[in-house]
This record gives sequence, structure tokens and C-alpha cells, in this order.
Amino acid sequence: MQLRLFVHVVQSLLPALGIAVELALASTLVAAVVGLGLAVISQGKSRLGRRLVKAYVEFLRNTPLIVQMFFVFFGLPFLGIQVSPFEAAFLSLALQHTAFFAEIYRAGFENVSLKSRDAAKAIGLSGYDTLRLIVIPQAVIRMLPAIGNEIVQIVKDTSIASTIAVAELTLRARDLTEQTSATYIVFAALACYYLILNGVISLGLRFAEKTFAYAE
Amino acid sequence: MIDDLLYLLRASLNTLALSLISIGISTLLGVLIGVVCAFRVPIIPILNAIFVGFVRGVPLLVVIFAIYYSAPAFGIDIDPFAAAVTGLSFYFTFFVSEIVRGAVGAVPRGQFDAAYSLGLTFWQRARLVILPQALRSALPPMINTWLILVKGSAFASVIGVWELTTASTELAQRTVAPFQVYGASMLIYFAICFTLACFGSFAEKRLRFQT
Amino acid sequence: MTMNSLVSVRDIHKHFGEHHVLRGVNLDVATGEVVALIGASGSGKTTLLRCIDFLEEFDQGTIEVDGQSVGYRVDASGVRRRRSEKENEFLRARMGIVFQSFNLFPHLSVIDNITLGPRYALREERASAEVRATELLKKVGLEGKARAFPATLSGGQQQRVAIARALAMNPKVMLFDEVTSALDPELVSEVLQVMKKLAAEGMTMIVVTHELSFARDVADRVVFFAEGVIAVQGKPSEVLDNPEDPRLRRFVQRFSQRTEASALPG
Repeated sequence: MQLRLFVHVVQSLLPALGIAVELALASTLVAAVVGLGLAVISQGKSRLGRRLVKAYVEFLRNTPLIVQMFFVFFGLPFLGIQVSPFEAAFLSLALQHTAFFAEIYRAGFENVSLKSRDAAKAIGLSGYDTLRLIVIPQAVIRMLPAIGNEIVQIVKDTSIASTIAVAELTLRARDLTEQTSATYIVFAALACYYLILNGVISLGLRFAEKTFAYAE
Repeated sequence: MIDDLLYLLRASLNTLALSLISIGISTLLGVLIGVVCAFRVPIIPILNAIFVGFVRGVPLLVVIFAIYYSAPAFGIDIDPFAAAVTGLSFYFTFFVSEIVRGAVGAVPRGQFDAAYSLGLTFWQRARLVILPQALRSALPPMINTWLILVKGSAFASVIGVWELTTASTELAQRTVAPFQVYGASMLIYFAICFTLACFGSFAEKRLRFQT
Repeated sequence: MTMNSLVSVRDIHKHFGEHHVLRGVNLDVATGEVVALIGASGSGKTTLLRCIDFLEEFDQGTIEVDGQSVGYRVDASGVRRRRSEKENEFLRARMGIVFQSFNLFPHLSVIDNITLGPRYALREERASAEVRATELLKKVGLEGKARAFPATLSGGQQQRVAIARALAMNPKVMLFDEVTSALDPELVSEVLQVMKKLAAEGMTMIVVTHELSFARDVADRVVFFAEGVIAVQGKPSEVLDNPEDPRLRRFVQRFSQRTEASALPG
């Protein structure tokens, strides 16, 4: 009887999976790219640029995502911008995780040992070649675990979108709890979805680590 | 306007209370479990690994929902604050246990050798040599975990606990000024979290032994 | 079993997984004797030292220190049993060991490092333990450093504190595991001086070392390890001056060049 309920919940949640994945994917892509841009600025010459990036990162790291999401969803209409819940959630996730990606990249660049860069200069590699052949491969491998964790965190954070009525997994699950008293089954199924999603990402991470192992 | 700000500040006291209680419970339990796992007591490391995998993969919001909405099915009449504390404490206990487990593992083998060689008993070795070093190196990442917990306390609003986020939502609806209200709320959270983050950096600098 | 051996090692075998590291080692060390253990890396000398202090388990054989069996005991029916933790702790307390990487406790001051063992394992009062610790610091030449922390000391200073820490337990025998190998060359002699002084005072010492000039000057006996057994042993001049064993000859050639640089003054 409980098994049937479980299966029913799993089936009911399936459509919502697509929304959650879409949200996570879109946010990850934007955050990964824009975050790189910010990291480059924070390594750059402009003192103002560095400070602005730092302030941005610090502010987003020290405030809860749920409040940021409310700020975006309820605040933007006041600027005359109409946003759908999905768009607000996407924007909010992207803003938050851009900051984290920027930090990951920054730490990654700084960690590639100065010795490697000096050695490359000594052999006579150009700045561009150094970057391509020495710095980036080493940095990428070092950053992969953190990037993997970040993507997992983005998937987990999609659950927060439920608070602004985005029809993803968690919201659907909450709706389903109205239909039954065995609510723990609903949450068990929900947990399974997230565990599987994040499990797949971890496997992908391990694969990526092997692929980039040539630099070691 | 001042009244509104005071309203938010009063609510943030609740946030602090919720956070501090959860930090206390999860740190205490987490250290205990982490130490037990590091000393390879049977069974516990396996259970720890299972729970760690669980909290790493499942969102905190879902865990809090699960506890609040499932408790009645088990005959437990739970109030939102208790559910929030339970959820936060359970979740973060396993972040702490992993940090501590790793920290004990990171104490160099030579320290164990030296402590052995002086003829100290197991408890003396743990208390006087290993744990002081392990807990020192565990403190900065633990403080970071506390920071994440404080941010997570905002989820308590979704199950009806009156704290800063709940109050902000109420106020935003009442005054129809979401920018200002949520903006102020973020500033208050920022003040709390940034202070904690600075404390963490300070602790990290002070506790570093040069090798 | 030689009656006046302080340390008596009989037929010790040890495996690390597949690797048979110690293949039947026999060794006696008399009270007051200074024995140098030399040999290539992996020959088993460090492993033997650690077995004596029971920092490593050993599969076969017996080790006796001051009449007490270390680690295991053969009961009435001939079965080999592990001794209780308490017994092993007690035995370890009577042996002092100094490690290649010093292993000082970084979170404790120098004097707390030295008094930790006496206060907790020997249950001494803090005051009397500190008095003795101060004397030991004087002995190793680090009088003013009682309140300093290990991170502020040089390698040679840290190693001398490590020696004082081991001596604070009033050990019957002192074990040294390549204690100068991790030191910058100019810091080696200050440690060797302390060891020389200890030897002159009659401390029983087993020293694993690559410092052949130290072995020549201070050791009563030199023991050459190869492939898990003792290949050659005897007085320093016998062993080191004209070695017959080709492995020993190669070893002496290799390490004689190094010891030119860190030869003891005087």
C-alpha cells in the first residue's frame, strides 16, 4: 500500500523534475560564465573593479537566498519589470551563484603555483600559451571538486523556488502532502529525486576529473 | 519607519535564538560523532557516512518540511519552532561530523607516535594531544558551517516560525514596500553573517601553527 | 639470554603486508652500551627500533627490555598473547624515543611538551616536573626557551627539546631514529653534541643513523642491517674501516662523503 503511494508520488513529481532541471541548468550556465568574468576583473588592474566584485561577493554570500529571491520577485514589479516566478527564481539563483563561482575561479587562479608560471616564462612560453597549456589545466583540475559541489548546491537551491510558487519538485511535493496522511512517503520520494539528481552530477564530476587528469 | 525597523530587529532576535540553539546542538553532536568516527569505533562511521550522503544530496528546506509535515503521521504533535530546530540541528550535525572526522585524520601520524611513546593512555592521548590539535583546525570550517546555518534559519519562516524572514514578508505586504523591507532584512542578515565570517577569518589566523 | 642485557631481541619477524621487512633479527644491548644501527633505507633498522618501543606490532619473536617482555607475552600453555594496553603503556614510558621529524606538540610550550609525560603518565606534580624539565633544558642547552612554542624554534632546537622530552621520563634506554636526517647541515652538530654527552653519562642508547663519524666516535658497537637481518656487527673500527661485505662497503662509501660535512668538532 505504501509502495503504491510511493510509486504514485514518483510519477506525479516527474513533470516537475523538468522544471527543476531547467532552472538548475540555466542558472549554472549563467553563473559559471558571468562568474568567470567577475573573477577576471578581480585579478585585473582596476582597483575599483576589484573592490566592487569583492563587495558583491561578500554581500551575496552573507545573505540568505530565500530573502534574495523575495527581494527580486516582489521588488522588481515596483521598478516596472514584470517577472514570472520562474524568471525571478532564475535571476536570483544566477546572482547568488555567480558570486560563488567567482570565488571558486579566484581561488583556482591564485592557487596555480607561481613556480609553474615562472617556469613557463623561463622556457619562453608566451603569456597566452602559458595560460592555455599551464595555468588553465592545473586550475581546472583543482577547481573541479568545488565546481561539482557548487552545481549540486544549485540543484538543492532550486527547492527554494517553491516559496515563490515555481512549479518545481518541492512545490509539487507540498501539494501532494494534502492528498495523503502518509506524508513521509511523499518526502521520501522527493528526497530520492534530489539524491539521484545529485548523484548523477557527482558521477559526472568524477568523469570530468579523469578527463582532465592529463595535466597532472 | 523606525517602528518597522524595530519590528524587524525584534524578529531577528528570534532568528538568533533559533540559530544559536541549532548551532549548539549540531556542534555538540557533530563533534561527538566525528571523534567517534575518527577513532574507528564499529558501526558508527557507516551510519555517519549514510547520513552525510543524505544531507549532501537533499536540500535543507526539504528536510525541514519533511520533519514538520511528517511528524503528525507518527503521532508527534510538533510546533514549528521545534521542527525548525530539529531540522537545522539534524542537517548540520553531519556537516560538523565530517569536518571533525577529517580534522582528526589530518593530525600527523607523528603526533600519535610521540603520544604513544610517552606512555599516555588512550584518553590522555586523545584529550591532551590529538583533540586540541584537531579541534583547532576544525574551528574555521565549523564557523563557516554556522554561517550557512544562520542563512538556513530563514527557512523556518516557510513553516510558520516567526523570525526575521517571516516578519519581513508580513511587513512587506503591510507597507507594500518590498524593496525597502527585504533590503533592510538582507542588511540585518548581512550584519550577523559578516560578523560571523570575520570571526572565522580571525580564528583561522590566530590558530595557525607555522609548520 | 644474556643476563646483563638491558635490551634483548630474539628472532624478530615482521611483515608489512607481503613485504617481509624483518627476517629473524637477534640483538643484545647491555646497560650503558651505545649501539649504532646502520643500513640502507628499507633494510629494517627503523622498523626494529619502532618494534622495540612497541610502536609497531611484530609477528614473531620476543623483545625484552629490563627483564620485561614487550608487546606480547607467552602464557603457561605456550600461546603468544598481546599484553594489556596498560602494561604496554608502562613499558613505553620506560623507553625514550626521539623521532626524525621531532613530533613536538605544536599547541604546547616547550616546558609543557617536556612535562606532559611525567605529569600524566607518571603522575608527577606539575611543580616538581617543571623543576626537572628546567634542568633538562639546561642540559640540552636551551635554558631560556621554556615558554617558547615549537614553531618559533629551529630544527636543531626542536630536536633537542624532543630529546629533553624523552629524558624527562627517566628512561632506561634511549632510542634515536635518524634524528639528524631532517636537519639542515649546520644544525646537526648541536644535536650530536647532546647525544655524545648522554652517551658519556652512561645512558644506554640505540641509535639508527647515517652519521658514520658519530658512530665511529661514540658507539660501542655498530650493527649493519641488510635485507631485514643483521649482516655485520662489531666495534666501529672493525665494521667501518675495512668492510668485507660488499653491501656494507658500498654503504660506507656512500655515507662517508656525507659525514665529512657534519663531522663532530674536536
